[in-house]
Amino acid sequence: MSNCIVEIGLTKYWQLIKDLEVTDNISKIANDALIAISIIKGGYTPEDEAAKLRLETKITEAMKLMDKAAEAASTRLTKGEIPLEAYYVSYFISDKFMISDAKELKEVIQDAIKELEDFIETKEKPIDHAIKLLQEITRITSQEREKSLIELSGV
Amino acid sequence: MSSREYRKGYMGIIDDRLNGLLTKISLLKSLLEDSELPSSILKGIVNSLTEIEEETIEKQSLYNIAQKLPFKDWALKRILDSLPTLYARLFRLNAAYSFLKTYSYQQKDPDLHSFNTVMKQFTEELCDLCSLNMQQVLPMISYSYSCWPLSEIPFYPVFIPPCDSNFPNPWVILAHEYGHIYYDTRTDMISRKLLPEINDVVQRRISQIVSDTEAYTASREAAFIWVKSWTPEFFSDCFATRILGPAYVALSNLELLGDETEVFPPSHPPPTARINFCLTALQNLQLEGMAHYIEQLTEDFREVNRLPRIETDGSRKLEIFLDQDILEKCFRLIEENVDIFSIRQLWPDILKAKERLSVERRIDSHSQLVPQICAAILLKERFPIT
Repeated sequence: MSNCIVEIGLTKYWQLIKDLEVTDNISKIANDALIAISIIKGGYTPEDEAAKLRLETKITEAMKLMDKAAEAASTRLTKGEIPLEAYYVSYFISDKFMISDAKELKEVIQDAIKELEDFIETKEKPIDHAIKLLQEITRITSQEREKSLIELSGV
Repeated sequence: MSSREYRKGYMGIIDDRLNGLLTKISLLKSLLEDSELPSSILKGIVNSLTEIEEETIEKQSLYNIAQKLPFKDWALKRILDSLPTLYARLFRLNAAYSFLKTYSYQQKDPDLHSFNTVMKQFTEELCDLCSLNMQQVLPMISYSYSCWPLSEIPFYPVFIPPCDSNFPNPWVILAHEYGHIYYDTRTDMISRKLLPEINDVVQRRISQIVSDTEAYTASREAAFIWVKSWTPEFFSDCFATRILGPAYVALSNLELLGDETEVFPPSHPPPTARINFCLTALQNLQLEGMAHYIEQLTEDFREVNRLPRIETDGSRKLEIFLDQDILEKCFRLIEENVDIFSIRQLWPDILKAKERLSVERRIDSHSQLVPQICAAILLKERFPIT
């Protein structure tokens, strides 16, 4: 059957496009939260309630994603919906910070969520840990995007 | 460069990039307005483009706020960092537009008339077997066998290399690509049910076989790769096996073996694991008259498997991902989630086509193509379509 041999790319491109979609979704959420935090910390006073809410929503979106990532960090997770984005985030954090324990990983993520919660409440409490986590997420997603785009463009 | 000039330059870059993005969006929009693409397709792209446009305008308003802040540098840097995501989304829509236009041109190209006619018939038959909507699949000539998801738009360009436009045996590999489409249309169910189960099986087993200190990291890495990349691949292999039976496995056997990769993390499971799974899925169908083919395919596979393996860092690392217990449980879970068995109806037609083909030695374009092409593969021969 050797005359049937064909060159097959199979589904490499499928995975690259899907990866790009997932990492972009994560990147958008993390970046938007960081923009909102930096604008609030930069001294912005919202003109009205709607403007305040718009910024806060960006932070709460990141908190929701982190909450799912903390769920995905559990080793014995068998129930519930786990978006791929949450898997990616929990994997990126455990990989980047070399956390080799499920409980510890969950705590690291939950600490960041708590900081963000307090920040929304008071706008004053320090949020260094949450910022570090969000920054790492945006850095890794940006690397992943570069890789996918280079492969897709054939550069 | 003074600090003042630096800041001006920095803000200039953000300004330029935001305006550049809006210009590109409006240019693509005007191309779409002039396009003859069907409105159902256009609507999806225009909606996605409008979303990107709205986000860009929102970034512009955040930029306007940030510039007036007493402490603005950090906010400006963040806004600048957020722009590549918008560009990447625009890249996907540009790709979608170009594929749709290519499809539309190829449909009108007189040189491709016979390919288009036969491919349309093949796609119709295959979509029918795969329970997919034919309108969503856009087959066209390109440089390799592959399939792209077009983001938020429910259309899937499927590519066939020109060298195979007249010899259809390798087209059966498209059943695997259609498996990805099928998987994609069932994402909700899969991420609620199948993926958490796969995650649990992999992590549980690796925690048992790897030493305590490394267990968590290894199990997370393995589960991540299984959930992210391997499950859709195994799913699509099982799907294609249940659509086309031994013909798909025979062609995969040929294509995949020898395609070991050293890249880590691997995007696809190792070929030996994939073929093993296809053979298991085939065996589990328990179809009458198939045993002989399964034996033959197993024997071919065993022969190739006897060749010495070249060990690499990647392959050694992969060994624990492919623990027998993990494979058995995950394969069972994936099989349970592929709810299609078209080969049961198709199999008698393949056997009939095989008898006819060995006499007539040509694929008749006025009869069903899929059974004839599968039969040609089982006969280990290539026939022209007439």
